[in-house]
Amino acid sequence: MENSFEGFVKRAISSLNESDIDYVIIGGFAAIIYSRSRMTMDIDVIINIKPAESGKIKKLMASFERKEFDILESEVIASLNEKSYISVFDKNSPFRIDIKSIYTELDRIALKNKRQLRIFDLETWIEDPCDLIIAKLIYGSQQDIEDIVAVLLDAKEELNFEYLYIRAKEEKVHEKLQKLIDKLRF
Amino acid sequence: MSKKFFKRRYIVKSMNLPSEHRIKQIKEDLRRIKEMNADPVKIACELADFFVKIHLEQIRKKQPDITKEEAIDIIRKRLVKRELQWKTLSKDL
Repeated sequence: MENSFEGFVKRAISSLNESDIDYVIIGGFAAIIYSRSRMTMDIDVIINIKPAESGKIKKLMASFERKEFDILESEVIASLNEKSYISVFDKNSPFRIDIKSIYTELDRIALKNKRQLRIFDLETWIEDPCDLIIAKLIYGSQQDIEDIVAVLLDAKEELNFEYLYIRAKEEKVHEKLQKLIDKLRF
Repeated sequence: MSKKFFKRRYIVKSMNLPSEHRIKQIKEDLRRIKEMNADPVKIACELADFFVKIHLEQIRKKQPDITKEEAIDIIRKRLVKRELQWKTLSKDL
């Protein structure tokens, strides 16, 4: 098993694809895909799964276990019940996949608007750049804001600004968005 | 280490806009990536691998007999600790 970050990403995407569960990669790794040059040690994922869906959970676990990830059924169910992240640790490296189900409207929208992209010759689902910007505006850490700057500057052609402004208003982050856009002068 | 790690995103109420200098640096990164036809995903991979390599070397210097699994577990714990510290710090900003 390849224990580099590239190997980890490939195994993570293959596991998610093999599980046949609706998923989307969000957060820092999605920002990197939209040109942000920075480091991350994990992949954040939203999956469409409920605690009672034991068949789906078993299939997801089997896919991860085949690719050398550490995951326990009891912890998956407990995390889903308490609406927290499920941390899936790689057996061969310190890298990690943080999985959550649809806990908020933001999560539901991210999953609904996901985009299919090819990473390392594997088809995968990535968060739409507008939804990524909105989520990062809500969280608002320095890292999040710098991710937004990179996405706004580099993925400008891919952004639907009308949708972005509507969503920003709905999430009450439109003033933050406007301040950033004004600062970037475009 | 416990396989369960509660990751909570803290919402930062105020937003610190990046400085002009920082925006310039991000623009420069983007320009150079394009100019060199580099893949940001590959860059992230190399950065992460470099981070792990350096940490493994440091751990092995202090504990030469440590197994790879034990060393990886130490790095994992450091990462979790760092992330929690950062989240707490962000909350207070």
